[in-house]
Amino acid sequence: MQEKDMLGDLIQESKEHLQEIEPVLLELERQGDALPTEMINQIFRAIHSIKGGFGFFGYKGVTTLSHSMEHLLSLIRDRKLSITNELIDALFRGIDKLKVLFDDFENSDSIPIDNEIKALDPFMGESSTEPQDTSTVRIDTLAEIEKFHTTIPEEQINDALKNGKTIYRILLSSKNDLDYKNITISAIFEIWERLGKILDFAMDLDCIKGLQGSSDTDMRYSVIYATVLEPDLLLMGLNVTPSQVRIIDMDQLNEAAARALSQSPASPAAAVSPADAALSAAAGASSQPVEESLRVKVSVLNNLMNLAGELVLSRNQLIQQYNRKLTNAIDVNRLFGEFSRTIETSLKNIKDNIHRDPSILDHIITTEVDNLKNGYIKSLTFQLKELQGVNTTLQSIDSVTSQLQENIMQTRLQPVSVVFNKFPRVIRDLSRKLEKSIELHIIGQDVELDKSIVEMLSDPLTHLVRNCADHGIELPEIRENTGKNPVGSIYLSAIQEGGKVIVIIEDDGKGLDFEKIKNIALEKRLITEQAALTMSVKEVQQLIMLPGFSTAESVSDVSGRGVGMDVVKSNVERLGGTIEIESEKGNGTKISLTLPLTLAIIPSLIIQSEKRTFAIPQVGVEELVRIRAFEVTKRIEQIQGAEVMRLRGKLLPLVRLSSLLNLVPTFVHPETNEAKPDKRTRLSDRRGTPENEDAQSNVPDRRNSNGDRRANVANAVKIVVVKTGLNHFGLIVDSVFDNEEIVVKPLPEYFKATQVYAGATILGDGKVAMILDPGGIAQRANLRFSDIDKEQIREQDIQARKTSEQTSEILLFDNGSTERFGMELNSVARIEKADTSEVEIIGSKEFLKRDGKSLPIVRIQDYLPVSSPQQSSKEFYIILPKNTEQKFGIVAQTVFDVVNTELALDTSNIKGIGVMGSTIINNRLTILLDLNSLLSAVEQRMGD
Amino acid sequence: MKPETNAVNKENGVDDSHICKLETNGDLSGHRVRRLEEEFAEAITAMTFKKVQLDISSAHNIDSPGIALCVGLYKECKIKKMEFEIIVNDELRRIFTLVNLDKILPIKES
Repeated sequence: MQEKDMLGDLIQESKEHLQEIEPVLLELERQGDALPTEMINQIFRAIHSIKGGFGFFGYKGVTTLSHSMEHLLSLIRDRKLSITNELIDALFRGIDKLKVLFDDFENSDSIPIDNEIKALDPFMGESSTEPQDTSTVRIDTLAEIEKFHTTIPEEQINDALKNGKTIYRILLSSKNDLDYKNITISAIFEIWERLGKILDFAMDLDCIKGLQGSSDTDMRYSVIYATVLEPDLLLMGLNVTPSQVRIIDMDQLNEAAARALSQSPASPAAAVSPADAALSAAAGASSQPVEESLRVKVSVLNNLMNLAGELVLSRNQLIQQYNRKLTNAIDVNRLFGEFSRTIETSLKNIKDNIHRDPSILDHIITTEVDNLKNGYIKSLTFQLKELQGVNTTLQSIDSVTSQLQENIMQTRLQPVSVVFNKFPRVIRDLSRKLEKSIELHIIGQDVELDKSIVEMLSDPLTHLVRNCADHGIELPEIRENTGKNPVGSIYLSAIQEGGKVIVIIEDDGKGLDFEKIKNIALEKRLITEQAALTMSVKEVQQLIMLPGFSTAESVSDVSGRGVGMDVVKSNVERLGGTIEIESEKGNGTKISLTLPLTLAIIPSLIIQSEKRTFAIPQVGVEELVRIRAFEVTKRIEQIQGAEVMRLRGKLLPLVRLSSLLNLVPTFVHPETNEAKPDKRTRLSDRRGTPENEDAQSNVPDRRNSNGDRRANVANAVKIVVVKTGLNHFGLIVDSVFDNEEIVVKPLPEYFKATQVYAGATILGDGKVAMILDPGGIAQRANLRFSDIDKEQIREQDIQARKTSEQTSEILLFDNGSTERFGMELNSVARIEKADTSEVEIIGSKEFLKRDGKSLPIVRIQDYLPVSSPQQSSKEFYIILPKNTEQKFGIVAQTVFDVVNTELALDTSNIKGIGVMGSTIINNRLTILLDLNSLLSAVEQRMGD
Repeated sequence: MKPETNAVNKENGVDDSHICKLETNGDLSGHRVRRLEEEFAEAITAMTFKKVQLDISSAHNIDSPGIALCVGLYKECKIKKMEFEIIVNDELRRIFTLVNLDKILPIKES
């Protein structure tokens, strides 16, 4: 377990080292040889620490790869290599691989690293043999150890490892290391034992064949040495060269031990194959993942300690005050006793003197009342004083608690630079791949966010930045042609605003082409044509976040598969954030993510359903709708068995929380105030069940006496409109309370399957409230948003048809003069030809004979203020209006046409009896006749 | 030249079972070792002994050529199928133990 902890620390530390390396490499690429040696040294040390650390734990993959990288860096440091993009590429590949190895360090040795090593190889140059660096230490193999050491002191080795020591095997040559330096073997022992422990000392006896020349033999010694020293220090301390030192690979030793055991017949039971051992080790490891750790500023911890101290102080004060209360309660009791005695004596006094002289009585009463008043004030002020004491303590507890909460939150905060810092590298790689020149500007990297948010922000941000580089920034030539700086810019900034952090990704590229987006959306049938026409710019921007949307014509390996913006959006929303797009064609795109500082405390709307309290995260709440009881049946309808509501012309599916959660529905009886089971199955039902309907129709009085309970104010329907992704739905609840900042408590595993809950919280009154998850509710309720959309479209069609019906067919005619008249065709019964010879004149009135009856005819100029015809021709037309029982016919000289037109009636310019108004038809001003008023005018005249 | 080997006793010059006792004088270190090697060679190449006994108990120190010499002599005896025995004092024994020679060379305490 101890080793597990150390490994966790090591991985954390190594990841930090890698983070250190990346920016320096980028800088190295930019500055080339001009980069100060100190900076190269810095990353050299970082990679060296990684190698040392993982070497210590025997992870060969990491050690080998980091060794190669370290060697390359040493060449760079010594200016033996010229900096090329390819060289930096190779190093970056190595770093990427190291990240992979860290993430799966348990299996890191089985992850192939040859490609990365191969990429590094060409730069190694001639010196790619054993580098003469102070820190290159090889790992030993068992075969080599066994060549010298007949017995391996395993127990001692394991003991030493447990104590955190490294086991080295050091090779010595008797001539080079001892004779020439005039050191004896005992001196070696003396020095070495000071820095560590010699576990085994062996010599190569094979090199001595016989007496002849034995004293002149260069003896080879091999020492197994345990020490806490790092390889580089070891080399210094023992005055040996790296080529002499090996780190002993414990895995191989263990294997050897296992082999020895399995070979020994005495203990066959103990035979464990190394594979099994490795398996069980791996299984044990994977069941206990390395716990995440977090670096916290000491100042924050100090603050926390201070606050905790203050909290303890306040608690002590409270206890003290409570104790004092107890003793004071006796005082209070005494005071009240006195007070009641005062009342008693006062009353007695008054009673005794009740028959006395009024002036004396008056005096007595006044004094007694004063007495009472004083006694009352005395006991009351005493109480108040006590309460005031408690109040200040409570205030201090209150403020300390909020500060504590804030501070604890701070311990989880991490600067966004943790995420931002990886983008210079991303941009570098992308600009090379896409052959664009892009400059990245990072602003506000010190802004802090909750660790979990910072971590979850990484993927969406990467996607957005990639989008900017791939789709946003144009190729340098195109940029130059459009008068832009050939070098594109991407701005990545973070701003803290109140309890929120806004992360902005902005580019100065080509921007979003709204028409193109619309067309693609139409092509992919993501929207209807009808919708495309009426869409606002904001709505079009939303389109790019629909699943399956991509404007890129070709799929590149950078982006363009059309999975992306929807994932970004859902990721950001999962974090409780919102996403906003601003773009201008040709002038770049700006995407703003608004994120909460923390996920642990969220503002929520508290609601109640069937007496149970729930919280809905405020980010998901769009609006609250209250439908008055008597409007329920009108505003809530059913579509395919599901309840929907019409909200500003749009259909909103409804979910009744109580039935979703299978809570027993109740209603509060308006008179008795008691809760009774509600038998209605749907809000839109007029009555619960047919039986009920019958029962009620049998007793019609009941309705009158009790009133429709749905008309009761308390029975208004409250709907919380929540959004999930692009969809909205209404949640029917019983009551809506306040907004509250709630602390989210995660739910245990077995609650996960319920979908509808995002967590739980404890409210101010100590009760537990579940936090609702809008997305889960929509899923659980089986909301089919597409059905709703279809219905919406169908209705729009009907609406469209209706408006087309609003256009009228107008009969156009004139009276032989310049004016043009019109009347609605459907108010015309028929048109007949007539001849002036048929007209009979009686007085000032003219008649035509039709069907054996006389028909008065009307000349428009007689009624309306219009000009008269210059000359009347022999033939003319009679227009017989409908519904006038053929009381008159209108004289028309020419009947032009019947046009279908939308009536844009102007009633202000031309007014008068029989005139409905004027409109422009076929570019001519046309006077529309009002048959009703014309008729009454005609009748009046006829009556004259 | 005073021989480094104090006494080379040929107790019985003809008998195969005779023991060759080689006793060194002083430390087995530095340039003396080379000379000792020559003397040892002289002593044991002339004839075959049943046993060679090397007494280095008068030495306080031994360096690596010294150790190599002891090993060389031991190997020589092995080749010639002669028994070998080495007599050491406490100090030398400690060094021999450290370098694990005690497990290889048959050591006889003085």
